[in-house]
Amino acid sequence: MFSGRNLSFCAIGAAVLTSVFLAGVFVARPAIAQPMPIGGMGSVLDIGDEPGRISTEETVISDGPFARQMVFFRTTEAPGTVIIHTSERFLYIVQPKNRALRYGIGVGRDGFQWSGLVRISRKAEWPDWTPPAEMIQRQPYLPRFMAGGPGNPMGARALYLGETVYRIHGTNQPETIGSAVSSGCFRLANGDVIDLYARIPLGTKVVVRHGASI
Amino acid sequence: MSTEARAFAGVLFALTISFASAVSAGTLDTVRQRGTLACGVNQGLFGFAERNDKGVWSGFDVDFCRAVAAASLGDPDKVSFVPLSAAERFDALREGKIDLLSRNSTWTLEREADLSVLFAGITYHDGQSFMVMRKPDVTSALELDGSKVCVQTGTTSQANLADFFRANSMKYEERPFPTPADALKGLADGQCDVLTADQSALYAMRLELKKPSEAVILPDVISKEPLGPVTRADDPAWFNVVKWVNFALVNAEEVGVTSQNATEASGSTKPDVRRLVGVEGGLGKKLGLDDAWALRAVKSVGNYAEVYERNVGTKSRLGIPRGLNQLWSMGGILYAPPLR
Amino acid sequence: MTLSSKIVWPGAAAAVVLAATLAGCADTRQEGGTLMPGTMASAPPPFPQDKLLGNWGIASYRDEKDRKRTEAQARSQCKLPYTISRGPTDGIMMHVADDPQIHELKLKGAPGGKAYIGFEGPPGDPQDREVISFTENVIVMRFVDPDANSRYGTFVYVRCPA
Repeated sequence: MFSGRNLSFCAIGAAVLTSVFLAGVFVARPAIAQPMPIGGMGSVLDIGDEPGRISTEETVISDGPFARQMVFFRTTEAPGTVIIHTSERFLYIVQPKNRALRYGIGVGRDGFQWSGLVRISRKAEWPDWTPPAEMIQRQPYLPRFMAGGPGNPMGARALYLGETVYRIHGTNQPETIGSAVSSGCFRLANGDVIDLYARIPLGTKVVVRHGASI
Repeated sequence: MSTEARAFAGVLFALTISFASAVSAGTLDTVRQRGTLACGVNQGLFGFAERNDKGVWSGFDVDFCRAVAAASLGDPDKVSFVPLSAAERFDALREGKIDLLSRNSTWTLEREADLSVLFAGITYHDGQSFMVMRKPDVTSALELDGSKVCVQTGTTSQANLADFFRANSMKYEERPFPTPADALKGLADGQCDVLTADQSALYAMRLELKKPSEAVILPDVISKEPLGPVTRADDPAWFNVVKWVNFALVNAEEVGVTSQNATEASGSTKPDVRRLVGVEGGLGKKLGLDDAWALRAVKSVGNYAEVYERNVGTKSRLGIPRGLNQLWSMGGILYAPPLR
Repeated sequence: MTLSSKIVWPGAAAAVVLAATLAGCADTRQEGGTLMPGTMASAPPPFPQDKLLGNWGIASYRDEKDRKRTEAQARSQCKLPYTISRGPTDGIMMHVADDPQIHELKLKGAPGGKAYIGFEGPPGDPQDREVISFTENVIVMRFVDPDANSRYGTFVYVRCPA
């Protein structure tokens, strides 16, 4: 089953794909998963959106390197800034005195498409999900809109990045944290995205960085 | 000059000139004649130098040996590992028993001045840190005022501990223990709230706890313990080879060359990538190597990030955050001079 | 015309099924016997199958509180409609869960005014959809398979303007 699950739910639906930039992203990108510039740090898990897998609000990464923790982090960005290192699979909230609160993330194909600087433009609890058109094409039985809830692949919270289709969101597949996955943007375990959501106000600056590519 | 010709020249050189001691011969030529790199490593340190039951070595320091072998001999497996105690390591190097010491050794003035050795850079920035049980939810070393601190007696950690608390006008009660294992037990038993030791050691000790996730290692580092490879002071050419292998691995991470894409990197149009993999610049020859030296090193062990994550980072049980050992542009202080 | 939205859990018929199996009763067509796991006896469909034909906007929800806005969302999804057309042998062309292939399905009635959509056979099969409510322009249904149901939620179909 799920023969056509390699597609993203990063996009929030055809209706928003009006700008040239966004249209470019979707037109230029083939519908099939392709090798990503992930700096050779592990292979891509063929994991797509599995609507309905259940992960509760309590699910956090509590052990191992991808557990939420305070780390040394030297930056000129102001405390409170969010920095995402896609090749490392970490999201940092900058703290004073060369420190940052670090979360393990899963990075989807769309998360590697773009880097730059944006602000959190919207926050949502148990966000709704609008599968992108190409996903509907491959999985015609999908609803065109899915109200938020524990089975929704967007997970418990979403933080929307500027005017882009990119977002930081939860997941119903916490085991994918720390991996490159074939769909989604920047996903955290539900308990961790809830923690992040409480710390990050609207308007927070977000810097997304990839490793260099040859 | 081809590798063979160079080796032959080395043989001639060795035959025709007499030396005060074997160690003053060019180490690179000696290594080539012998066909293996003699690399001094720790006798057993989790994540840095370990030997499995089949006798195969692995670890952060071990990989550095392999990278140097790949660059200088063309084969990462042409290494004879020499396990050394802390006491014998520098003598072994000076006496020529090893060509290179890659054994979690701290770079200090005294060692370079007194021991006729040179540190060829820093591969790992370690430093003294603190481990607390998660319950008090301490996130900074500055919140440790009034703590009971477990520490191994007779170590620099004990002195650093005193300095740190005094400098920050904080009080503490010291709980000294003769061994690291005893100090750890002290923390687990609740005899102290905090355990202090070098950060890399704390991550290894945490794995010994019944529930490692209950202990938190604070991000603060209160001392400098820069670890790096060491060569004899009388061979600047070999010193350069070792030094630039380290820089090449760091630069490889910075420009995005990995063990996976190293081959296709030769087709890159980016000048810094092309110089690294040796299709431009002729840099290897300036080191007495061939131009694919760095490409081979990266292909063999990966770039700095790959070496780090595999041995002590996210892909190892230690799971030590990159911290200081992250690139200067990504939150750490790793900075390698350019390959040009 | 509205059907009752009574919930029938697959487990509810388990005792019956077990008894039937022990009795060696294997004829699924036998009148009055509920004989495949979860399935039930047939009855005339409570509404004509042709009422399902056409273009629909579809959306899903899990929590009853989301039902109203899900219906509104379904209405706005007519730009990407789900089309149900007539099949070659008297059925309707639709998908089942987790299969991108289109199939000819049937509207199947069951006792108590219930309705299912699925392959030819007794109603209530795990591959069926259960019709929870039906009006001319809004249909609510869900997958009978509990796993598919929990993953995709309850679907609202809203008829798109011609």
